[in-house]
Amino acid sequence: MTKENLSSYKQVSEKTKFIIISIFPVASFILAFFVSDFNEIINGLYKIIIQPDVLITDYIKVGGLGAALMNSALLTLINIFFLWRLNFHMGGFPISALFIIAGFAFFGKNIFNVWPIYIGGYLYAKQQKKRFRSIIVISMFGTALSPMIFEVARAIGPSNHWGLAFAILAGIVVGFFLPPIASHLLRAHDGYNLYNVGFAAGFIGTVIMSFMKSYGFINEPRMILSTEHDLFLKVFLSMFFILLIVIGYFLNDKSLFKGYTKILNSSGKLVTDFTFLAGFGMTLINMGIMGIIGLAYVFISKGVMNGPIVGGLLTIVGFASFGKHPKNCIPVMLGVFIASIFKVWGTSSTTVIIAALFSTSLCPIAGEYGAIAGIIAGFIHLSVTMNVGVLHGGINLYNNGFSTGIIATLLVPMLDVFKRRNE
Amino acid sequence: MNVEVKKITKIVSEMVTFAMLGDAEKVDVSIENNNDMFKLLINARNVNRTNESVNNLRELLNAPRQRAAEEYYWELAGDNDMTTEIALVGMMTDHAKVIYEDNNLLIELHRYK
Repeated sequence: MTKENLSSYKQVSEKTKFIIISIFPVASFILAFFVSDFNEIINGLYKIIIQPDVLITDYIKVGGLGAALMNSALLTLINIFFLWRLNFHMGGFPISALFIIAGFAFFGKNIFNVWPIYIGGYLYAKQQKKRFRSIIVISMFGTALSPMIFEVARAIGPSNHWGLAFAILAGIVVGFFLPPIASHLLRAHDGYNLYNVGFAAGFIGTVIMSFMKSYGFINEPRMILSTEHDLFLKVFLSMFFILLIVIGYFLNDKSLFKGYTKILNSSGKLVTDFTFLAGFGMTLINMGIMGIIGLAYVFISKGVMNGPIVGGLLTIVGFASFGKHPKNCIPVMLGVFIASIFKVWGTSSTTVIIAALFSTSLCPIAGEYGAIAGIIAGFIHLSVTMNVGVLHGGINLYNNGFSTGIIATLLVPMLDVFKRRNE
Repeated sequence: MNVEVKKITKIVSEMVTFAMLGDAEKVDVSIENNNDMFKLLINARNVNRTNESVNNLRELLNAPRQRAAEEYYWELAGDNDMTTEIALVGMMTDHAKVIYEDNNLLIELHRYK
């Protein structure tokens, strides 16, 4: 017995969804050859693989624009292929994971360092007598800890094969335990932090880094950022966001706003799958709109586009299928913007801009408790995210997710006090 | 505790909460543990819920089963939120039927093993 389809929106076939989701990586793949030649791409990919990946390592600077685009394209397409082979239903959950992969493949995730996490996830599925199908998306999110591989290898000895073998084993172990840890930590913030794996990876990364430092390992945070491709990246992403809106318009019965109320009225708290709530077409429109809002923030802040900012924008776009919408995100971003004016960091710095983009992980707070609560959450987030990175030494790529997890865990019960009183 | 048992109790908790928030006079819960599936019946008498909220419940419970999302998020189920936890229950079940007549609410859920 299967379920009835009670939705009023237009249905889209899984094949069509997969094709649409493949647009960005395919475009990145093609563009890579426009901006670099084959040898440059190969050499760039090699540089990306052999360099440390801890925060913040912009692959556009490390390997060149072509190699960074290719890295993102290959990693995303491989993951799309996995999901296709596993007969995945392309809902908000896998879409958000795919875009976070595409985004972080510009700074920290590469075609070499992510696989131990997947192997660990696969072994966990086997050990639990489950199909890998039910674990793979958590593993995709779990690649937040990919930089750990290089750091562990470096701690043991960069020229030592045993060091690399041990690092890969450590990655597998982390990938194995990440699903139950991440699932368990949801209860801390009750679904108000969308980047829950970042929260879990923050704890895991803190323990690993503390352990390594206790044996004399010297962690070297990085700040490698590109500035040369600002216009190219702005144009490329703008076109992609507009394309999402156009495709969404046609899939949404040639309407830009049919079903948008359903999205805007949702808190965005986990688990909110817009593809089910309002349809795939309307979800694509929301993704495009959220991308443009993110890009507008970069413009307003006078920021320069680079790998991390591209990552932030693509993450927003992905999660615009899984909880984020203008009404619940703008207050949080505004909170970060206000904080950047009054605090010691510059509004236009990359770290502040990505803090604003990733702060939208806290959008359920604005969605549930109102805009003021969202602004407060964003205001606090900037301080926390700028200071928690030292705990895990940058091996957790979702440093903002770690911060938003801490904030949601503390803020939600505090906000509940007032909510309960009003009820 | 067995995870499967936890999931079943969370699903039941979610549905009972929905009925109790409508000031239900009496709620009967039946859980059948068959070879291939769990069959859950929640029968509530004198429930005061709007047709809109029941229709919303019906639509959310009819979300397609999503084992991947369930694997990760199931611990969030059980608190009753009209758009998130109920949708999650939908993702954890394979068949959902909701009947609301004369203020009596019947919810039937099947969850294949």
